[in-house]
Amino acid sequence: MEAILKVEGISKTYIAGSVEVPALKKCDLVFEKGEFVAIIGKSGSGKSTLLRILGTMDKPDGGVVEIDGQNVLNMTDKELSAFRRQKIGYVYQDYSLFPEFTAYENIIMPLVLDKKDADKAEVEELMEKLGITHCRDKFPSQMSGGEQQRVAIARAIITHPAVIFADEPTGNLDAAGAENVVEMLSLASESYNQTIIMVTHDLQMAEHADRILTIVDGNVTQ
Amino acid sequence: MDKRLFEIILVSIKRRWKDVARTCVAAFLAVFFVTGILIFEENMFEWQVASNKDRFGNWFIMEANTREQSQYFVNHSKLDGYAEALSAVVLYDDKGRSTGSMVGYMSKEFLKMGCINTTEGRFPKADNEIAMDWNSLSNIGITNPKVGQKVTIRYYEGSLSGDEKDCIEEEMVLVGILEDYSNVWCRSRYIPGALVTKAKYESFNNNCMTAYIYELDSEYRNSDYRAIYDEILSGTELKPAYNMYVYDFIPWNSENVYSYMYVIVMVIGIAALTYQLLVYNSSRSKAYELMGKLGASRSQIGIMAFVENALILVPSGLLGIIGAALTGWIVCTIIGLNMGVSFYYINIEVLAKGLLAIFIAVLVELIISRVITIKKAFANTRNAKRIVALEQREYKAHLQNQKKVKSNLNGKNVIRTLSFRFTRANKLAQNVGVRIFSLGISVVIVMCAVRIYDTYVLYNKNKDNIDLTGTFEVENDFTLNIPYYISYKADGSDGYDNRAHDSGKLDLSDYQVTPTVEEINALCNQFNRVLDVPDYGKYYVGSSTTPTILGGNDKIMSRHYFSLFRGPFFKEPKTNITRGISDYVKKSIESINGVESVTYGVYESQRAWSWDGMSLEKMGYGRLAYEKGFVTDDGGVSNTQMSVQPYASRDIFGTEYITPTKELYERLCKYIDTDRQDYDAFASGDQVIVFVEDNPYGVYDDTLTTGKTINYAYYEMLPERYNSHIVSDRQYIFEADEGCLRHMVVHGIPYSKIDYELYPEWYEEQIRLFRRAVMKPCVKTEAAAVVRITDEIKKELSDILVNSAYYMAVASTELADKACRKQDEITAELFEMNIEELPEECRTKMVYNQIVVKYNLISTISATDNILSTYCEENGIGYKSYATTNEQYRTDFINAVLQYGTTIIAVIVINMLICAIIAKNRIETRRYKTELLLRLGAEKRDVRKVFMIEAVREALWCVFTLPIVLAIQYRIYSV
Repeated sequence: MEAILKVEGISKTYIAGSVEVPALKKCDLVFEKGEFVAIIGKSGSGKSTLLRILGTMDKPDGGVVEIDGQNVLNMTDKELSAFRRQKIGYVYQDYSLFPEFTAYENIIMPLVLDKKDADKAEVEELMEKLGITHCRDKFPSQMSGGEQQRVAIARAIITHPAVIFADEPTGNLDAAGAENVVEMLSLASESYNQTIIMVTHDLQMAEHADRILTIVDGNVTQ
Repeated sequence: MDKRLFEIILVSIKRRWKDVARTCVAAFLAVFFVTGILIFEENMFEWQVASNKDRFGNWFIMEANTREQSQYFVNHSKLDGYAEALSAVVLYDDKGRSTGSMVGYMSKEFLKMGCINTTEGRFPKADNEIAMDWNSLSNIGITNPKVGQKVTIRYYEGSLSGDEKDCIEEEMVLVGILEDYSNVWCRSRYIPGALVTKAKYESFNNNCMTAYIYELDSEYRNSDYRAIYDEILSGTELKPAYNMYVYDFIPWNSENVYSYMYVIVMVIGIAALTYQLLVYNSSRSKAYELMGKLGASRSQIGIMAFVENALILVPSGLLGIIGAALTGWIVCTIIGLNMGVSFYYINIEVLAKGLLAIFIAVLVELIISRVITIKKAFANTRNAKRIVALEQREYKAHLQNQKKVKSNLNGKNVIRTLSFRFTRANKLAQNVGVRIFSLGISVVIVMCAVRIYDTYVLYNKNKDNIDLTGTFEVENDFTLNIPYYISYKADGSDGYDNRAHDSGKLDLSDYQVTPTVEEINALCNQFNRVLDVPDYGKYYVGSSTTPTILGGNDKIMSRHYFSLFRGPFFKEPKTNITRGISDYVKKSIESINGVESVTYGVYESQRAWSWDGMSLEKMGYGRLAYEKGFVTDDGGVSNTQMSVQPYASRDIFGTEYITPTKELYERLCKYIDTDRQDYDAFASGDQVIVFVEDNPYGVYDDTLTTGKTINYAYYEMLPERYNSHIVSDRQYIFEADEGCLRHMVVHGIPYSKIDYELYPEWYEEQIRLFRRAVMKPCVKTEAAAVVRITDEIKKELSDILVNSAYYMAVASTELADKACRKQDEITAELFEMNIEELPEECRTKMVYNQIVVKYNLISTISATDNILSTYCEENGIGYKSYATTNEQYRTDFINAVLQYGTTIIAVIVINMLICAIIAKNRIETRRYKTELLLRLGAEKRDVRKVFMIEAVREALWCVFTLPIVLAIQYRIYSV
């Protein structure tokens, strides 16, 4: 399988006053296309830092991050914005939907930001697969947590990005909802050959993934 | 308070120095501007007073023309200090005329008290050095002085004037040119305009004048100065001069405007400071909350907050006051150094009001914080209730009842749609509130602008009004004489009683007969029945010189000379076209601050007119004059009445000579019948326009009609009168009088009464020659129009009809030139020479003797009218000021600009502040959405566009501030 995301020698240290906090120590990782990877670790282990660096929301102190064959660390702001629109999807713990836009509008938001028109049929199909067709014209305040998260997943998938990053996607959901969301992620990975990297502290959720990475005190191990 | 708590506060402040610094700066600026306005108000007043003192000196009274100083003034409790100026000799010009300027010495104290400074160079140090003011330099004929040049001073020792051969000439080096004072100050003629060293003064071995000036004790600042002067006078018989140009001057000082500005600046200062305090204290709220959770009591937290705020605000406020005071001092010192006076003033009230701004800001912040806390608590309660209510309902049923929305979101409208949806998510009150606020700002700006505009329109409409008119007047005892002729039939029975002094028949035996009949006939044709003499004998005004009968075979012409007396109803004629305003005075007037324009004209009242059919009666002499008590029974003139206004401000005959531009002529055409309009005739002096005022008894003189020829008489520049035309050391009635007298003296031509006794026949011949000449008109012109004048005409032609006369002609300057040439012919004939040979100093030349001055806006705060009025008074220019009426428009406009301009600036600043606050608020409340957009790949500029669309929609409600508000918000959103 082809590698869709490669990192070599990345590390990150935060400075709090006069104290240095090494959040991430030198790590090398490769993620294949269509792979569903879970990264587990306790609070403060560095998993969010790793996800932010992989998702281009932060820059490491050193190393290389290559997504779909492109070194994202050398990109300008404009190139990075375009890259995010086209190559990266993100699912957040708090769903991160626009409260004033409907589910349909939230889903197509990355496309319209890229000045592209949405393929309505494709969106309808995606919504049907994720079981949120009935939420099409509803606002987030009119949906349950699970529905909102599925809308977020649909938004992440709609641009067919190279990678989808999910940061504690089940954190705000009950057990049933969580289970449902992880199944959706797994389904998306299979149906769309989508690479998904999920960060979680829940081992049970992580077991749905194809591979589990563990991060302890900034060190990533398989 | 616990020492350890205090230490915690200090450490906390030190570590948050950036946040603290922001609040300190806000406090500093608020107090700085509030205090600054108060200092500005106080010193604006002081500046105007100082500006006046700079020109007229900082002295209160002047004791002058005295040898011994009065100890009464020295010891008077209200006077503080004195200074001395000593004058040695009077300066004479190169023609031997006294200039009135004196050479002398001034002490350092006098120079300081008098605010006498050099404009170039320095004060003399060596005995051959001299410093002179511009007026004195001009008086001795130096109009373009340069420091370092040699000047020749001419004087007589021992007395003010003497024989020319005793005149001493001395060359000195001009080391300093002084600001004018010797023709500007009160009693300026008593102080020297040319300064030398003390040793040089003493070497003159002469003292012609000593002047002492006294300063007012500073304790009496802002007192009733007149009352103090009167009080000083009451204790002595001496009459010192009072520096009324300084102490009676009322500077521009609009209390309303200042109060208004103070309130506005206070409001802005307090608003800005309150906002900063809110931001600061809200940033501390979490810290205080944590303190509470750690066990600090409410009073401890309260004390911490209070002490923290005090440590920040009090030093900042004090620095603000010091900063404003220092800035004010620097600015006033710089201005003062330029002016040579010191005027900075500050009192405790100013300082207290500055600190008040902080106090009010803190109070307002406390109230707002309390309100926000109460609101939050209420909102929390409301939210909690809502959550409970939701939980109590069936969740799905609740969801099913919500409305659904159709979407048209696409790549083309995403930015706009994002902006609209974000706006809609705001609370309605916020959206509406922002718009209403912006609209309110618009309304305030418009209303203020309208108010300023209204005052501007009035100011603009009246800005071309004349503020001051002045005419150079020769102080003299002058009589206008009208020559007239009456022709008789041989038996003397044509019905006219023409005798001045008795009512009998003409006694021909006493009179001379002119030699030629042709001349008689020619004169008869010109002056047949020129004057209707009243037939009630002695009851007419004026006197006639001895009539000269020009006899012939069957005709007798009686030639009379009729003197027009002034009396209480007519003004004494004081102006002629040969004496005017010097170039130096013109330059000085033009350079007075606040003078917008000066136009010069020529006016004369010392020339008599005559015309065919002239009526003394209708002129205002004769029976009516008697009936009004002007003439006594024995034919004398009653002078017991004072001048009766407005009649006594009017000349009998007046001519305004104007440069004949087509524009001016077109204005005058309004009064000329179309068939008589002839610009060329007017320009060449062949036509004039006459405006006639009803005589003092309300009768209109209809003897002067359109088309009539008006005869302008000669100036009576007679040899016998040259001497009598000397009105002072410096002046003759007619400029050429002096030149002619000098010419006669130099060439040994008899000119005085003594000479008459020695050479009676020659002298008689001269007189006869002259009288024969002057009985003819000097120049003739046609009345293109004769208009009965009204107030409307006076107003419309106020820039042309500057003076007032019962018979006022508007003529071209060409007519004046013609009259000068004819006058010169007479003079040449008198001196038995050709006109070409007539020396320059004997020639009559037209000079500008009239000014029309308009002021500009700055005049309101520059005491322009005060300064110009004194200038006119000290330089022989009779003037009328209309500034008081015009001043209202200027003052209103300035007040409006200050008051409403301040308001406009204030609301713009407030609008900017509020918009900045809204923008920052939006960034905070939408931080989550902004970050989400960026994470979804939106470019930063697109995110900015989303915010800016909303900003534009709101800013459109106040287009006046739109550019600046958008610029500020763009800047904030870019960050």
